[in-house]
Amino acid sequence: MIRGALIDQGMWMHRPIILLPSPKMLTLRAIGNCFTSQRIHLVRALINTTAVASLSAILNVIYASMGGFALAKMRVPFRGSIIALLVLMIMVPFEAMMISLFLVIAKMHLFNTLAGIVLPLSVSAFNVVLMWKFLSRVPDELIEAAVIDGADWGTILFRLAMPVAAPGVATVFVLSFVWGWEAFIWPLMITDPGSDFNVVQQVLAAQTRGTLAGGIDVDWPQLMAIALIATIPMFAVFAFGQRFFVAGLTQGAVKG
Amino acid sequence: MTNRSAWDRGRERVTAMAFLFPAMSVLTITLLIPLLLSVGLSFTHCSRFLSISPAGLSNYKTVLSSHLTLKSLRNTACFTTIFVPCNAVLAMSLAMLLNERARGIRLVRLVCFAPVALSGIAAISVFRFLLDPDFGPLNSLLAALGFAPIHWLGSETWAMPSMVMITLWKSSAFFAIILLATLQDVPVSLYEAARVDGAGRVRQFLHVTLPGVAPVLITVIALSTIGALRIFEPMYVLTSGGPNDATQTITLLAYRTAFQSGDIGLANAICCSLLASIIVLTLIFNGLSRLVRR
Repeated sequence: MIRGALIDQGMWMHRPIILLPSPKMLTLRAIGNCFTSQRIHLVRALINTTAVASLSAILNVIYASMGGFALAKMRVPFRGSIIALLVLMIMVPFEAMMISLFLVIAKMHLFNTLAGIVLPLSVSAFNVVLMWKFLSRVPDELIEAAVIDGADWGTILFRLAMPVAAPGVATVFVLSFVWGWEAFIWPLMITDPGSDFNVVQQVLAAQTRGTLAGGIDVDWPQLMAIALIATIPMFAVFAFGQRFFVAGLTQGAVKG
Repeated sequence: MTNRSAWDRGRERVTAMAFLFPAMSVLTITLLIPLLLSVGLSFTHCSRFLSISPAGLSNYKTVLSSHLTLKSLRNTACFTTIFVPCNAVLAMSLAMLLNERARGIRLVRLVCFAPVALSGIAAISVFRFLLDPDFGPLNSLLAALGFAPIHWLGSETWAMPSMVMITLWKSSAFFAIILLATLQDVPVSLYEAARVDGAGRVRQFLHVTLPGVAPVLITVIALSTIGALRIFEPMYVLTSGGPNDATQTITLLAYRTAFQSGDIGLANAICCSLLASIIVLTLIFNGLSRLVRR
């Protein structure tokens, strides 16, 4: 893919395949095109996608920590039923209710808005359950001590419990960021057709653009360049959170 | 004194509910209400302009009788039955390979896990190139080995296997991460004990490794089955269900029924059938994993 992004169309068709082209064959044309071409709105899409992914990651961390903390360490009425309900909600596949979700969001006049895209991504039952499990392992003594010292619950959660459960917080953050970045079917539904709102839709659009413009074939280097740019942030987030991520997933999966 | 602690407890309850409120209210709006609405609408005739009239079970009759829905059900079932075992075997072998102690294993691990970090749609787009019938590397390789080129995405026979291949490439790496983490938790002393008892590598695998990872392996199989039933992206991006509906799957069909044909009632009936089958499967897998853990 990296190679594909750096060569030009003629080179792409060259046979036999040159696996490692020499430096003078390389060109930044395709990558440059991503940012300058009138037909490719990649910069806008990158901003959109970053906004969606980071917003949903931050909201997920806050909501899941608050909910998880209440379930783990506080007296809540109907605690058992709420947990059971959350576990049930994990099982519901998004596809089973996506059409009605579309109707609900459209009724709220959020069609084609940032809020409409982020809202369904901003909380996942899985994350709440994950945080519940992580926060349950924070020692009770620590929290009791803080209560006796007169700290209010908000302070206890954000200044005490969340730092102790940092791996959990990191897992939720990475997971939600990746979901937000990769979200495909939902943004596709809730935005105007053809608006190519986020980066993955741009990747898709790059495949059809060649044929639509009357060209014979897909502009492969261009496609590869967009795909490459779409991937870099994911890679960065993964590299940052891989350790936590694996631990978090295993706990979520095994003890779930 | 008692009064005060009762007041504190009351305040704790209120705070706890306030903490739970954002998560639960968003989940209600984005999950519970749509879910109930889906179930409700599946029993109605509902157009894209939301003119609703009761339909009883007729949508479900269509699901079970229409050629297209039956074909997508068959396609999805076919995809799942090929995909799940391949995925389990591949992920398990990959995890075991990566669990070996060797020089540079960290680097190898990183490379093998790369597919997980690649953006799904971007990766699928790369496959469009790899599978290109005229100048894709895969067909060049086949030609070099003396086989005739295969029209991967264009032929009814090969379109679905291509989809399985693409999905495997990404998901086996993902599940291998989970399995590797579990493999590393299997105590080394167990392997040593088995070796002292004269167990070969095969028996070590059967009696130490497999029982050690069995619960997680079942989770992996369950998750990949559910994932396979929901498969959407590779078909949407590469074939849009074609050729001749050979890669039409349930989710794709539901999406198109709702947004292209505008038959929201039928689309919801399709979705609810999917939901029902996933719930049944989840219950089965839950029972299985309880059996294994015992």
